Amino acid sequence: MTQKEKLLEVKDLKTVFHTIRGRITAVDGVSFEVGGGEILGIVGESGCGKSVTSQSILRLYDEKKQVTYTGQINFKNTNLLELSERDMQSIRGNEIAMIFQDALSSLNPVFTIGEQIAEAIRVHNKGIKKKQAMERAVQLLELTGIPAPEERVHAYPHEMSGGMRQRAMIAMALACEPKLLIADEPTTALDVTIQAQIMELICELHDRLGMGVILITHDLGVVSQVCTRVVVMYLGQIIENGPVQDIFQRPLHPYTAGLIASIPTLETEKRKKLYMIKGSVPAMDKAAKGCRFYDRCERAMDRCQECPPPLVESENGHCAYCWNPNLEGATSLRERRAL
Amino acid sequence: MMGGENRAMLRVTNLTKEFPINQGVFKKSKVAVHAVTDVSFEVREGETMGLVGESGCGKSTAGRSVLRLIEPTSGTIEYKGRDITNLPSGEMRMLRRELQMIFQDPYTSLNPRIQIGKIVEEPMRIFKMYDSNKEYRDRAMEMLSKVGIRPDQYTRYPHEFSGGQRQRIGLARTLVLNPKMIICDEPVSALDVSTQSQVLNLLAEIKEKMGITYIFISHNMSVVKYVSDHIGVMYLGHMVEQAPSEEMFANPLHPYTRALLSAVPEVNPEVKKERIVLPGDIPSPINSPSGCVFHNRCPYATEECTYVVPAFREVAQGHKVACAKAGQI
Repeated sequence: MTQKEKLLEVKDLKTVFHTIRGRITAVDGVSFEVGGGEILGIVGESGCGKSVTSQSILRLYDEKKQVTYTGQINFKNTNLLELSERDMQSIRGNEIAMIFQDALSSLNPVFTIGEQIAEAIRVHNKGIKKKQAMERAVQLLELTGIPAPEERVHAYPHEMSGGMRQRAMIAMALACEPKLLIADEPTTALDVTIQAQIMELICELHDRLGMGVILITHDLGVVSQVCTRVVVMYLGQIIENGPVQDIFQRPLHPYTAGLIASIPTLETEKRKKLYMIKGSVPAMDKAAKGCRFYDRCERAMDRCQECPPPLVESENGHCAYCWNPNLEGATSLRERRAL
Repeated sequence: MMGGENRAMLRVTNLTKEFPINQGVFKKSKVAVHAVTDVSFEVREGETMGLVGESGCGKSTAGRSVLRLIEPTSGTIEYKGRDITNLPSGEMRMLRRELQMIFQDPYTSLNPRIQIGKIVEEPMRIFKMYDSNKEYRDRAMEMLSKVGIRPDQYTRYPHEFSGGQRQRIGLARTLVLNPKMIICDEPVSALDVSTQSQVLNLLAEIKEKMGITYIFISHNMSVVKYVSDHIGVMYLGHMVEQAPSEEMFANPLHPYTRALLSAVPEVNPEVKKERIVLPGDIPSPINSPSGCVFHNRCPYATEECTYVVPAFREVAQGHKVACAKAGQI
């Protein structure tokens, strides 16, 4: 099946920032894969490195001053980290496109939507005429469900609502029919009813165009509804990785379990105390030497403090880095199913 | 419910707020943003009233109008049976000792140049509650430790704290006055999942211990359901539905409420919800639609909805809805 085909493989990626106060390893040894027809969710709280991971894939940080990447990012059998800046430029937008959280600040306020989409098309297809590019822009706007695209193509970003701008951003990202779309918190700034529209659109485009999607978000609700596989990050590291059902029904890592339990849902009983993960996310350099979640973990043991946790594997490629994972959940559920 | 014991602590009647837009050479206002139109609700003592809606629906304006941080254009606000709509500012100030507010953004609602201890002391000093500095200090420390900030962090500055901790400091600042009612304007929206549950639990604990009444403003349906006894759903400045919490979720009547509920992502991949995806965007509150404000996005709208303003009528015990076809759809 083509679904299983590997599109992107990130291997032991490290992103180190050079700052005045020293080096900060924002992404520390992250490995995951994205299949061709897959929606992969990367979740975590603010500061966990999920956005840095996604921007590292496109090498968006200034490598001359700011940052050093190590590891491998294999896309279609080439390691993106070895490419020259020029070759990288032909990957960005053409092969891998990205949409950002804040559509208003990602769009140029002095050009119309159509001009900006046409620009994206012409950057990547040198031969194309301006007029043709504009026609294509109208088609793309139509594809993303913007009403009256022939008129909207002449609108400036400030004339559009948040949902419309995000649609325009998606249209721009689709301009060159990328194989992989990275969506960095695409609905965080939007209202729930608009969020539902945009997520529906992303899923529909994923089905229709067959592109891989990496969805970066802090919203576990969105992830559970949309993604096929989930990667959970904490302080620059992946702590759990697995199919969406396994992650939500029998999380191995105490952090994942805690996150899921601490969200009030429509089913949560009123006034029942919510589950709390104690403390708050520490600064990168203040975390324990062994497991970075040690100080906040309910299941922590002595060795968690000093020794980095091992990889624990469960079924369906579901795995976590933990000394004391919750394996009972898995077995008991399996037993219950057997009965 | 407790029945007779719960009397209305706050009664808001036909609250309307318009922000005029000045245009032209003489700054004559011709148009206005209709932020809140004809909103009425009651909050009973010891209860939590949830106001929910999307951005621009007027929930924050309604909340601020209650404290008269924004002067309402018309309508009345009664607090403990007393009309406070036209109270002189001096008296209103004294009343704000009982009516307090916490804000969404814990980063901008604390002065970055003042130590957090002083921030917590300030409201007490405004009301001259004690005589000596020591008393102020002791009270501030007591309250900080109550909300989970170590008293030895008294001399720290706001930037040294995380978002959740800052929200706790903001809460301590209101609690030192022994308020009767706190208006929480999106108190957990800016927080991460793991800190959100901490703050929600803290708010619940404080309510129980100190018997505080909340108005809880949020766009997050699940959070509102979790904390509220009564819920009001707002859309484009109008209250479209109001009911006790259980009733609202068991039996939503307004098509907008239904769409809002169906848009809440379930945190369970096995439950795939039938989503009602509303067409279009929220219209501008400057030229809000005629008739029912929701008619241009409503899947059930008829010709009549475009010119007849639906009455906000009671369809069941305490369940009010502003839809002509409620009950039939």
